[in-house]
Amino acid sequence: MSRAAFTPAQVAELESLFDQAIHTDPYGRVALLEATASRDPLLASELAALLEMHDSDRSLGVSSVALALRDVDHDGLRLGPWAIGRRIGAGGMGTVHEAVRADDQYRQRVAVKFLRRITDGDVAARRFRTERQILATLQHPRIAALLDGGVTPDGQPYFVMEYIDGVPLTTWCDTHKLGVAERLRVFLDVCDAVRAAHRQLVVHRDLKPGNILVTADGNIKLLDFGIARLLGDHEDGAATHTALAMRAFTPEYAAPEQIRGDRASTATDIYALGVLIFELLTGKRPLSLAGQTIDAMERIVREQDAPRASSVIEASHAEQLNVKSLDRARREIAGDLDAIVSVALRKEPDRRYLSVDALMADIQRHLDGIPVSARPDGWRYRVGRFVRRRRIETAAVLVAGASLAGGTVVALQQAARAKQEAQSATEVLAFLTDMLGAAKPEALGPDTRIRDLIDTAAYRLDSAPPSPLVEGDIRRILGGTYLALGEYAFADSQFLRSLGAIASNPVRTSGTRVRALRARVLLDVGIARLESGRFAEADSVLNDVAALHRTLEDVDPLERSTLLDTRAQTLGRLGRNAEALPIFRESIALQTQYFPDDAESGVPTYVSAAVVAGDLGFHSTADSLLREALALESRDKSSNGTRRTGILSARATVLERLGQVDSAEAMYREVIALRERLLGAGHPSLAFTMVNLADHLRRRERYADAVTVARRVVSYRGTTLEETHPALAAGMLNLGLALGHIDSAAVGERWVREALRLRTASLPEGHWLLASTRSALAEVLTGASRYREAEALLVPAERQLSAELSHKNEPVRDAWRRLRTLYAAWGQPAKAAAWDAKLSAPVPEG
Amino acid sequence: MHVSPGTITAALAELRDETPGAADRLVRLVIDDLHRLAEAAMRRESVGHTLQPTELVNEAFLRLLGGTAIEFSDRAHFFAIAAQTIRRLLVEHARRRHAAKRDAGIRVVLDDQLAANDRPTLELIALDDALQGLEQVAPRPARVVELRYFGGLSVEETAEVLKSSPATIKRDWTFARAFLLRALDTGPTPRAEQS
Repeated sequence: MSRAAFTPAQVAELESLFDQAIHTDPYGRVALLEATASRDPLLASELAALLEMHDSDRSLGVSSVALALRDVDHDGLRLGPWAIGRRIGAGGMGTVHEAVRADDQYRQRVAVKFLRRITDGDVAARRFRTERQILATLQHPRIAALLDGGVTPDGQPYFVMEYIDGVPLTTWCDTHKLGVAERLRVFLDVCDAVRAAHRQLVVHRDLKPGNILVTADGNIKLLDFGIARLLGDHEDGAATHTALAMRAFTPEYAAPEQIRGDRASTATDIYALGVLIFELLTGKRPLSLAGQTIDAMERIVREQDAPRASSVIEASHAEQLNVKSLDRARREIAGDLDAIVSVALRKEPDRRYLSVDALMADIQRHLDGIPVSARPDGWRYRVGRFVRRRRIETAAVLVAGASLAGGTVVALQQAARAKQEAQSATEVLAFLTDMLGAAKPEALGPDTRIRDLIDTAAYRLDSAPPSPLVEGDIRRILGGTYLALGEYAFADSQFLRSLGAIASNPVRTSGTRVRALRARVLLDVGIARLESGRFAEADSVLNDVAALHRTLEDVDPLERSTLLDTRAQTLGRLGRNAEALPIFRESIALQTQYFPDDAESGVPTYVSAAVVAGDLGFHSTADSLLREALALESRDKSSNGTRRTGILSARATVLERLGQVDSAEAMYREVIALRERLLGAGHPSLAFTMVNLADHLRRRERYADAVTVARRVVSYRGTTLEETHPALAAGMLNLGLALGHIDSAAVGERWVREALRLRTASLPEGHWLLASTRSALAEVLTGASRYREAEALLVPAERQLSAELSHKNEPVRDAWRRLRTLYAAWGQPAKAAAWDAKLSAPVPEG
Repeated sequence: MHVSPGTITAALAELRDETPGAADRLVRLVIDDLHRLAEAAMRRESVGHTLQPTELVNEAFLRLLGGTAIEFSDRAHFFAIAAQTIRRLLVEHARRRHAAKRDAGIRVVLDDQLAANDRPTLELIALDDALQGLEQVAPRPARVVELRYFGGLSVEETAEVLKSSPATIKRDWTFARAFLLRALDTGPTPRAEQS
């Protein structure tokens, strides 16, 4: 390179000559060169080279620097009435300059965007003109208007747009520390503009914060509508993956179909909007593509699922959201917003919101506090659980024209909200369970009973099973629904088949997904076992679920709290109350954190915890837990009273233990009446309350009344109450004890022995309930004057009970009472007095 | 740490008054933001996507002074300082990256993927080399290129900053451009280097 030889003075001369040369005609140039050559040949040859560079259009391959050097030259150019000014940006598409209107009445400031030169001539140019005309008609207060356009003399297409002096939307929101609700409202404004464009069949294709500016006075403007499309059409669009870098979009905002090179549609914009809310809420983008090769980027966008927004947000962004703590930020976003984002970000375009309208509607619903239509993929679990807890009323559901023929489109008339047409049996069933779960009696029509619906679903599933994991999930929901109806055997069958389907899944699917689904099914199985009284089995299954949860990174809090609840309840039934109570507390803590107003999951936890506390003798604790449950319940506007009855029923028992007997009885009766009305006479749930009432009446020595109630419970045996159901044995026990007083001891003994037989069959040996039952049997035997037999049962029973339970507990005190009665009747006053003394000892409150 | 618009306009005023050290002060004020923007952009930098200095400078301007009423002259000076700073940042980064690759013994070959990755870096280094060459023999034209290429300054703005006339600036620019294009053409281009 010879240039190092030139001195500054020589270069100055070169510059001067150069300037002259480019301002003369070709002849003048030649003359100049020759004149220079005679003085200084090197200088002349250099001058010639420079002139060649100046004249030629060569772009040195794709050197972007060289291109940019040429582009910068627009400055000063006049394009019609526009005087081009400084460059304000450059992107993959071209450069943008400021410009002003040269015929200067009002110095309108605009932005002029230059695209890459058109290389393939007339056709492209014509298409460019047509598209430009379409864009020019796009008028909306929030869309930067397209004012003019054309092609420069050099063949470069350009647009003249409204000049927007603003910052990107994300920056704006952060600077002003807008909270979640405010950001959502701003986002709705953006959607409004996109919707307007979609109505005119213009798709943006490159939505991103850089294209959504906010001016100093808070006005939102969207830039570059449809320009990506125009560019795409007039480039030599090679669809090879190396073209990704040249394509006019931002990878992290690009939808999977864009990466693939498919046509962009309104769904593509919706995906970008999904990324936008994600970024507004969390400060991050759902997929991180920095530093990846092109291949990796494509794979990530197409295959990697976006994480839930609530799990990604960090403390630094919580500040930007003007929220006091990270937890609060998470809670605001978890649930509805997570769901909405995940629907918008679905990989398949037709699974996203079908229109910007639909997306806007859901966001508005969230802002109004109405349930949203979006369901994240984990929602089925929640719905299934909802169904179970609800103890489906035997109300009727009208489903017009429902058909589950494997995977064809189903239209469901009853839907008040505009739901998208179901694409698969899972969608349909999920939709149905959603309807069932959300059913309010007044919203439903006549006929088709739920049971028939579920049976039909099960039948159709058998004849046309979908893919293994889908089948597994559907059967799980079916099982859950049977469970809610109290059909334990049918439920079990479905659960078993669900596990079988999952196991038969080909190995390709992610282990995590399979494990997660398996955990869900097993949890349902555990719940089924618990509710049908098979406590030991329940315990074992639930331990398996806990183990599976430990291998999963991201367990839904609702699912986790259900596991905790179920385990704790099981432990309680197994008599391991001391272990159960802390687990309940853990569940309460989790629920308070994630869904503090969710009475649906919260109330059962409080009530169960109260029962356990009561069994441990902590009656005041039990009462305060129940009062919290009532408070939570009253915050829930959608409650229909079923839950309330549960709380009241438990409270009645506690009141009884605290000695407020009259209130207790009134409460029991109220609960029974309520439940009968809501659930129908034979429902298992009713049985527990009735047993409690019978027990209560018996203790108050109203034996005839007790018998009446207890008989009703026992009458359900073999119909809605299976042999193993705890309420059955309890009913028999009370019946026997009461009959022992008003009828004959022999009759009473028969019933109590039956109860003991049932309990022995279903409880592990050494369970305190067995001891308690034997203690009850002893009472009847005492009544029949069979003192020796009674003593043989009672003494070891009392020993076990007072060892395992606290001395405040009823079964212990019952045992003492029976011992006192026994020895008194047997003629051993000293011993009787000893037990009496124990009873009279002051009882510390707990 | 966010610098307030007031601080910057004050620094610009000092620059206008030709207070000694004002330029340095201004650089120190903007360098953090520019650095951060550049880093963020580099992290987002997809393969083959060239880092656009004028975009960064523009965004920095909006962040630091967006919405503030600011005179033409001050604005021009801001962009001038920003242009210099961003050139320094980007070139340093590019050279470090290139050196690292060489030191690691990676042969810089014209391989599809690698070249696509490396080309912007190499081009920037080549431009900087050429610009430095020009600075030695024709300082003002070189400065014009620096301001316009890295900062996107218009002819008027450049004239304001260099205290010259638009005509002169235009002349300088046209010449420098031809000069640089020639340097980039015959100078080191991304070809197989035997390291």
